Amino acid sequence: MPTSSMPTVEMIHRCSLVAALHDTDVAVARSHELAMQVVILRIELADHRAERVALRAELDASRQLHAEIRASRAYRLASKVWSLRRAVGG
Amino acid sequence: MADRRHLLGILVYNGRSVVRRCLDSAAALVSDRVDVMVFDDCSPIGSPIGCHSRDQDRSWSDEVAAMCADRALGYYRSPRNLGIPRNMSLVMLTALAGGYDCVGLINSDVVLPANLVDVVGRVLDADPSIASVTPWSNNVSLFSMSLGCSHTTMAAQPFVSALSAALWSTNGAAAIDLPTGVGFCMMIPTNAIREIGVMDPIFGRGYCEEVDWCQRARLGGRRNVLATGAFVYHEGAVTTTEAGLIQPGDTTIREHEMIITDRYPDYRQAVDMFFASGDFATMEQRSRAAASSAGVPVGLGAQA
Repeated sequence: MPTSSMPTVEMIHRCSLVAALHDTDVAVARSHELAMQVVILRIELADHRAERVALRAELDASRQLHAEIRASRAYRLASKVWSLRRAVGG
Repeated sequence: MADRRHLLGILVYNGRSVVRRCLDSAAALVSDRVDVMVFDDCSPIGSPIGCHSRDQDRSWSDEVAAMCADRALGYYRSPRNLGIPRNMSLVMLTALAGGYDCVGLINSDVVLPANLVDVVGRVLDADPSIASVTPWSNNVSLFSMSLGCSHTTMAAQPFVSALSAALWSTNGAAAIDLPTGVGFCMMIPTNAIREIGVMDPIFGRGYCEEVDWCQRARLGGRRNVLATGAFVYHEGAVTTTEAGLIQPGDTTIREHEMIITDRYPDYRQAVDMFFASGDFATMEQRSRAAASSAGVPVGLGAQA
């Protein structure tokens, strides 16, 4: 038979219970940490989306300005001057 | 040598083909300072893989319990399957609760030598900062001793004890620093467990948990060493294959390796540096030659 100093089944059950509770604590802490990371990443994602919307608006405004410049009398006149200059080899 | 109390915890999950010889070898180590206890990780009731027809109606766990009773070994069966890391943690916590000074985490597919506890004790005496002692083996991950004989030869108790005795004569308590201990047979002073804790359950049903534990120990200023004066036969992957953890032919779990690489970016480099130093190869060559000179038929080539 095992020696008298051998751990008893009751002792190991207690150790197992303590270990299970510890594992649960670890799992809960990690779940909490992951949930916090998800929250932080969602905030970052929302910021990036807002930034994208702002950049798109800026791009649209730039395109609008570009189109207006190309449509202006001054631009058309300058284009004609430039074409003539190229034609005469200047 | 310090007068330590040892608890050798043998992790069992099925393994009908290997458990009996493991228990026989462990039973020979039982003394007033050494207790051996099987931690059966809720092996399935009924007929396990590969059992013979006459045993099919008998619970494997009942058989293991009976084998333990016959050999004066303790036996504990978890009410549900824990997986290897948590079963290891249970052994560690039991050793702490039982007031032991040193605990062995031992797979069931090993054969232990007669001098195991003495050699480990001498190694621990040499340096109190040691966190883990892994004995040498034919199958100890990257740190295996290459032997040119069959598993049948190597698994025989007389061979294991003779080779271990020859290594003790040559190497004594010499220990090589390892990048990590190996969980097939890892001896741990319980004061290290108080400091470092138990295995991380993130490794689920197993693989790499001992690497993680040993890196935590290393970062805490402790050493993981190979005891070159002891030899333990290890068949390899029996428990993990039985549990369906890895498929035959596989050696690890990729996700667990990724956790290790993420947590310890310098670990792989430490392994490379270990082999680049050449110390291990020199020690292995010297040890094999010494064993051969002592009449142990270790062969000279790769394992048959």
